[in-house]
Order: sequence, then structure tokens, then C-alpha cells
Amino acid sequence: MKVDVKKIAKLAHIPVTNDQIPQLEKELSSIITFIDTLQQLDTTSVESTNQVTGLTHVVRADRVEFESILTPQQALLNAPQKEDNYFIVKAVFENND
Amino acid sequence: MINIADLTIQKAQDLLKSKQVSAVELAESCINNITQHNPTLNAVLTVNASAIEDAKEADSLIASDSSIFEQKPLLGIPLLHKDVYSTKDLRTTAASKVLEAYIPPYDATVVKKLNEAGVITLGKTNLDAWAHGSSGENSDFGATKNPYDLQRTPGGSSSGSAAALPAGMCLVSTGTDTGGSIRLPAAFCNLVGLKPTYGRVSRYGIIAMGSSFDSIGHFTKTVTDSAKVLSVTAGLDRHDGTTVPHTPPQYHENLGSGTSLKGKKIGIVREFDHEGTDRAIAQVTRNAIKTIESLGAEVVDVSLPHAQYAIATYYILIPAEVSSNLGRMTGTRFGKGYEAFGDEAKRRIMIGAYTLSAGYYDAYYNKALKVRTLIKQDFDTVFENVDALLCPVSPSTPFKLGEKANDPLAMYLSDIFVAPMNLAGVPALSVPAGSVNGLPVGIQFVSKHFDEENLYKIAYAYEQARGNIEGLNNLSF
Repeated sequence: MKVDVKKIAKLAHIPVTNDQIPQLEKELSSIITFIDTLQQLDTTSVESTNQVTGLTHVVRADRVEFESILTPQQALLNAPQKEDNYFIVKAVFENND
Repeated sequence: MINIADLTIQKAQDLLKSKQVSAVELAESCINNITQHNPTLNAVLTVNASAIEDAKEADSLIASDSSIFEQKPLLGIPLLHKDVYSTKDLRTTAASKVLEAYIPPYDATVVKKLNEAGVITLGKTNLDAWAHGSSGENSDFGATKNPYDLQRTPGGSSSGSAAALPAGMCLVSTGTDTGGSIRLPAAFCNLVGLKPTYGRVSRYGIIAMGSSFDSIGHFTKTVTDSAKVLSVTAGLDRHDGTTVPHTPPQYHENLGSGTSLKGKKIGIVREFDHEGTDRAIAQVTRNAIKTIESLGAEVVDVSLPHAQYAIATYYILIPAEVSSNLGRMTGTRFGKGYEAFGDEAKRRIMIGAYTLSAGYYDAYYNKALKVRTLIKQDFDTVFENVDALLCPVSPSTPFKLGEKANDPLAMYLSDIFVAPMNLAGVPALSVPAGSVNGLPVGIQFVSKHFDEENLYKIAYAYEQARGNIEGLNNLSF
């Protein structure tokens, strides 16, 4: 099976240059051909496993746990760009005023 | 300087309690070995500058309170953490350029528990970036070398944690086992490596790879040492909803006399005995089977018919979970953005995006969740009849660095004997079993969910009967 590297890269938000495409195409295609072996198995009457030890509906009391809350200073400690108590992010909408 | 490479936690505790050695001496000896051998081995990424201060505090506690070891069972024991464990104020990189300068503002639960138990954290160890790999070669900071042969891999992804112990850099190191990342390097470096049951040890604060798989374990030289550490790390954590409520036992106090396996039934997995395995390794496994038979265990043939699908299932589910977990690395709150990911992280994110995309989701992701059920049922069925399984860990001895580096699929297949346990969530313990051409070979014992106590008893009995491992290369650094 041959995969469309450009399409997957776009879906995954992974920057890929044109000269990386042939190698990635080869690697991803061989991996996807390999995982395709599962199609040999009939699983029509098999349930999915999402949680392997069988725990269900794990909840905690609905109250604030102060000891596990970061202060604004701690939360911003590693931010590449910040201002006052805010993270600076890329603009989502351009301001055309 | 004390010889750390030949020392166990158990022996160090005797020496600390009888005041024949101090916590400072232990820490200094380890740091000395790091300084001397790390330029060759590349096992450690960051050294904790306050380690000696911490050891001094441990020594003053030991001097002032003779019962202190009851409250702090690992007091003064030097430790290294795999660099995916969040350590407050100590750089944590996941061996990725993305987190090159990341300083966690909090401790992982396990880090906190080990600190409370008195360990001296010496630093952080190298790994395949984000724990993606089986050889350590995917580290953005260079590959770690195997101390028994510098041309070869120490195994991955917990490569630095495994290489550090034979090199005398610590007495215990932590790791994560998502698809074999503790057991494979343990087998390659002549160590005991525990993959606990999924949910036995908290994942909180440990940088996630595959959240439905990640198992938080450790490396030691002996089974007793491994049990001592699990007695500290196991248990319920309200910050991790997958941890279970029942209180874990004190594993190290329940190892038994270690002389008999009478009444124990041990399964040998038919499907793991195939021509793809190195003959000499298969012989090591057969010798281990003879040893447990001589201890009175009943050995029976068992089948895991779906184990052959484990790697394919794993490489659908893991990339799917990886693509979701690494989606947070946007470079806004911490670290750099997607452009800083290495090749293997990129491959996994892209495979995950592919198998989760519209039109493919049912064929891949949902299919794999169902095959996971079949694999888990195989284990459930065999554990109705046997107390544990004895299996090989790796089909080959430690391979040469570079040998599989350009073939991702060949690298994935290094984990054929270790990944099935992660799909089923069962615990497994890798134990040294012999050597081939001077290189270490391990076996693993596997048991049903939350039965680590039984696992340790069987492995302890085997370890006592096995004796010393002969024929290993001299450490070569």
C-alpha cells in the first residue's frame, strides 16, 4: 500500500519538506502494510478493549484541590512568550482594522 | 570510593544502618562514576546539583534517629530517573529537543513517593525521545552505549537507566514500559526489570506515550531490590484514575524462602519458540526451564494464539495515542513546537493521524481495539491454569548500534516477546538468565493482573537457584 504523505502530514500538522517525502513514503507504507495483517482476523463478535483492568466510572469529589493547582507564576515558568499573567499565542483571526 | 557496580540496595542498606558507609559516600561514588564514564556511555542527561546536599541531610537523619529506616525505607539510596519523570525544578526533556529547556513545576507521584522514602536523586537518564524506540538511538541527544559492548545498544527506550546500573552510576533507576521499554533493556544489561500491572503504579507526572499502556517500573540488580522499590511506588493515587483502590502488599517481605517452587505451575508459550529466535538464546530459556523444574515447579505447554498479532495491534493503538498525547506540544505553554520533533515522533504522529482519520478509523483503530480483546483473553485463559509464564525477552542478543536504525519496522519487531503483555496489561519481570558471546540474556516471568507478589516469589526462587551469570564480557568503558 502506498500512502499520501502530504495529506497525512497536513492532517498531523507535521511540517514535511519535499525531499523528505520519498523516505517517509517508503517507511510509512511498509508500516501500514504490516499493520494491515490484522484484517486477516474475524472480529465481528468481539468487543473493544479500552480499559484493560476493568475499572469503570472513576470519579473524585467535586471540590477544588488546591495542592494540585499551579500558581500563575509556576504555570508560566516555561512559556516561550508571555505577558503579565498570560501566554502569548499566535493570532487565530487577523485584525483588519 | 565504594564499588557501586557490585553493590545492591539490600547490601547498601546494611552498610548504611551499621554506619560503615554514609549516604554522601554512596552519592559521591555514583557521581564520580557518572563523571568518569558518561562521556563514553551517554547514559545521563542531567545531574542534580543538590544531590550531595540531600545525601548530607540523609546522613544527619541516620545519625539522629535509629528507627528512621522504618519511616524512610530507601533512605540514602542513590537513584536516577528516566527523563520522562517530572522532577520539580530539575530539567526534564523526554530526550527531545522539544523539551530541551523544560523545568517541571511539580513532581510526578512516583518521584514524590520515592523522595519521601528517602532516595537521593542524582539526575535524569537518556532514552529514545518520548520513549519511542527499542534501542535508545532515537534520542535527540545521542545514543546510549551498552556497558558490556560499546558497539551495541543497551536496549530501549529506557536506555540510559539500564546502562547506568552496571556502570555504578546509581543503585536503582526508573523506567517506563509501554511495549517492553524496561524489560528489553534489562535483558540487554543483565538487570532485573519490572513492568508492573497497568494501574499498579501511578502515571501522574510521567510524560505520556500511550496512556492505555504506560506502566511505571524500575531497574535493579536483584529481585529483592526490585521488590523493595515496588513496595514504595505501588498504590492508589487520586491523580491517576487508572490506579486501583486495593492496598499493595510489602512485596519485599513476602519473597518466601526461595528454595522451592513445589505446587507452582509455570506455562511455556508455544508460539514464542520459533525459528526467528537465536538458537543460543533459546538454549538459555531451556536452561531456565530446567532450573525451575528442579525447584519442583510443574512446567506445562500453553498457547497465546493471538500473540503473533501483538506488534501490528500495538503499532495501531500506540501511534493513535501518541498523536493525541503529543498534540499538546504546540510550543505555547512550554517547549518548542511540532517542527522540533525527531523522525520517529513524526512517523508515529503521522501513522496515528492516518489510522484515526475518517474512512480508516474502523479498519485500523477499532479493529485493533478488538484484537486487543482477543490478546487479553488469551492471557486470561492461560492464567486459569498456570501461576505464571516463563518467556524469552528478546529474540536476539543486544544488536549493534546502527543495525536497525534505518528500518523502523525491524526495530518494532525487537519487541515481539514483550509487547503482548502491554496489550493485556499484565505484569512481567525480566530477570538475568545467562550470556551468549559475552552478552547478557534475560528471561521474563509473567502473571495475571495485580499478582506481582507471586511474580516476585517465583523470580526470587529462580534467582537463588540460578546463581551467578557466567561468561559475561568485562565492562568495557
